[in-house]
Order: sequence, then structure tokens, then C-alpha cells
Amino acid sequence: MNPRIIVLFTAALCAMTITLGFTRLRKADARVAAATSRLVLTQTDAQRVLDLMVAKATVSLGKKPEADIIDRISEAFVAAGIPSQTLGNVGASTNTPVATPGMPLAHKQRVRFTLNAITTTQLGTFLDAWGTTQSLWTVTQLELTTTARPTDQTATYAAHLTIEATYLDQDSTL
Amino acid sequence: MTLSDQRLPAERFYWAVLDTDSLPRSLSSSRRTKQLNYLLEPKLPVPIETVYAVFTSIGSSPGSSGESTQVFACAMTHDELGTIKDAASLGPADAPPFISTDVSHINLLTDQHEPKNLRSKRRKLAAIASAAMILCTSLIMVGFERRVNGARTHIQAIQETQQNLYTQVLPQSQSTLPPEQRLVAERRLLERTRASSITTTSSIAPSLASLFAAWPTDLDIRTQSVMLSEQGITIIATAPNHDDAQRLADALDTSPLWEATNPQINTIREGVNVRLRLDRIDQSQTGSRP
Repeated sequence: MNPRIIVLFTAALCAMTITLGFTRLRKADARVAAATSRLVLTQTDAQRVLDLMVAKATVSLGKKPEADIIDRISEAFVAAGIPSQTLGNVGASTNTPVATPGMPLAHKQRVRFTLNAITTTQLGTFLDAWGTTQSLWTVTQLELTTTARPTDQTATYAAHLTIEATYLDQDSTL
Repeated sequence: MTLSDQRLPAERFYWAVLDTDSLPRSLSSSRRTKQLNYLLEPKLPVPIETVYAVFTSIGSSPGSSGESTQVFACAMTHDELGTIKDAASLGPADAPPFISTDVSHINLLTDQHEPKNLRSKRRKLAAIASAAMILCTSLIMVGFERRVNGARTHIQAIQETQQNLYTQVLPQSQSTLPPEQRLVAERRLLERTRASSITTTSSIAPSLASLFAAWPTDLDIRTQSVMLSEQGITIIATAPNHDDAQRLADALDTSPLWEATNPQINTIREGVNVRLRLDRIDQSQTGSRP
């Protein structure tokens, strides 16, 4: 066989091999780029989730039962150093829908409860502890009525508090 | 052994001028040579099979129909060519009188008469060139393969990092969704439960604190009830006299959070009954309170 033909054939074969190898390498590089970009998105989402986890929830998922509310009040009592006997009646919760443009339908849950024979200092401490420990529930109404005003002691009041929480339905996850 | 170029007198060769008008233009090299041999055969005194000829174009001939190319042939018998030894090339030293073209480039030691040394050298060069190309290609392919493997390893590392992130961030779940979708769902859920745009309630605690801060402590005021809501504050109290009631109203009117309406003051046996209403000021309004 003509040596020139052999050289040309070999050159063609080598060029084809190199082209195939280069194509394979480019595909591998493209896969790396895609994986890297997915990782960046994942890292962004993960950091966002971690940041949000640190923040206090202001909206709950699902309506809170009354027993949970009593537990929360007790928690605030402990934080404020107020005896638990201070808690009087806890009323049934009411719910009203709240529509916010661009957001899923939310509901406002309201509960009214009474603190008996509480001084203004204790009330202030309780509200401070409540604001610190209970990010889901906001005290939206307070009615103070004088219960006793002894001359040698601080006046005490009956405090009727209304708390509100916003919640989303359980299936509003996406 | 060094091969030299041999030049022999013109008489040692067979010469002929051929008119190629009748030959088609588009012929392959081998077919054209065959056709030219056919044209040469009648001009030779010996059979065409016994000679080896090379053909050279000598340009167009005027007077013929259109443009034509004349070719001259220079030939020698195979037997005589076979006796030439130690020559790298063989050609005429000069041309016959009827040929005016330069003949110094003619070489009859080609094809089957190519010197073995030269042929062997050409084959060796071809083999070396092929081997070099194959070697270079192999090295390049090894490089490519290493980079592809590196990319594969990189992707594995990325996937492991991604999996670790999912494990760190996502809570345990029986969900069959892929981790990427679970992460997006978790993010959206957290954004919704931390969305301040949904919750519009505001606490009355700052209002109460502001009320206590503004409450005058030098007045003998007995409160019957204090009602705080998002809209404002309503105070029902008893004061010793009208002036004290008014002083209470004036003291509470200094807060930037609300604006006092005119107090309702009724005289009773123990002093005066005062009903004071403080309406919450919309903080989004511009301008300062007078």
C-alpha cells in the first residue's frame, strides 16, 4: 500500500479519535457546570432555611388547641415569676378568615383569658415575658378593672386579655 | 551508500511528442497515464509493454481547434532501467532538438523502478509519521480521559456535599419527594410562617408601657377600668376634683402614640368621674403631632 495513503488514513483516524475525545470532555465539563450550579442553588436555599429557622414563627400551621394555649400562658407565668393561680377563665377561641393579596388564605384565632388580682408590676412583667416567649400570639386587647385597693398595699386588678394568632391551613405548604 | 542523480544523453531514451486533444479533460492520474501510453505506442519501435515512460506537458499548440496541450514522452526500456544501480534519480542530460522544454526535472526511477533504498526510506518515514501521530493522539486521549475522570470525581464530591446539606437542613421525614423538592417545600413553608405580611396585629404592650410612663403619680386617681385595644385606650377613673381630672387628661395627651379627645367629666359625691378616650395615631401618616 502506498505509504502516503497509510499516513493520510492514520491522520484521519487520529483526528476522528481526538474529536470524539474532545466531545466527551466537553460533555463532562457541561455536567460539572450543571452540578455546580445545582449545588449553588441548594446552598442558597439551605442558608435561607437556616436563617428562617432562627427567626421566630409569626404564623402557625393549623389552628392551636385550647390546651396548647393554657400551656403557653403557664410558660409565660413561669418566665414572669407569677403564681399560676393568677389565671382565671380561658374563653373558647374564635376564628375569622384573613385574605392577603398574593398569599394563601390565613385565619385569625382569638382567645380571651383573665388574670385575677394582678398588680400593674406583675402585669407588665407578664406582658414582657409573653412578648419574649410567644411569637405566635399577640396581645391585642387588655381591659383592667380594679378589684382591690387596700390602703397599705398595691392595688390589684382583674386583667382581661385578648390574644390573637394567625394560622395557615395544614395543606398550605406549597 | 549515498545515491546520486544520474543524467544520461538524450539518445539513450525514447522521445515522442503527443497531441492530447482527443483525451477527455477530467481523467484520473492513472487513467491519463494509460491513455498517454496508448498514444505513445504507435510512435515506439518497441512494444509499449517493454518500456516505462514519463510524460510532461509542454503547453498549447497554436492553429489547433481551441486550446490543446501537447505532451512529450521520455521512455526507456524496463530492462535498461533495471540495470541502473546506485541512482536516486535518472533522467536525460539534454533534450532532443525537437523539444525545447527544460528536461532536467524528468526522473524515470519512479513507481516500480523506484530505488529500493528510497522506497524503504519513504516507508520508514511514513511509519515513523504514523507512529508519531498515534503516540500524540494516545497522549492527548490519556489527557482527555484524566480530565473526564477528574470531572466525574468532582461531580461525585458535589453530590456528596449536596446530600450533606440536605441531611443538615431538612428534618426527618417519611416523604417520598426528592430532597431538592423537600428543601424548596421547607423553605416556602418557613417563609410563610415567618411572613410578616400576613400578620397585621400589633401588640398593646407598648401602649400600656407608654400609658404607665405618662401616668401622673402625684394625683390621687382611682381607676375603675382601663381598656386598651389596637384602636386606642379608654380610661374610666375617679378624681378628687375637676382640675385633677383635667391634669390627668393633659398628662396622658403627651404621648406620641395617641391623641386624647375631650374628657367627659361628671361630678359625683366622691369627686368627679372622668371618662377619657385616647385614639391611636396612625404611625404611617407623615408630619409630626402638633
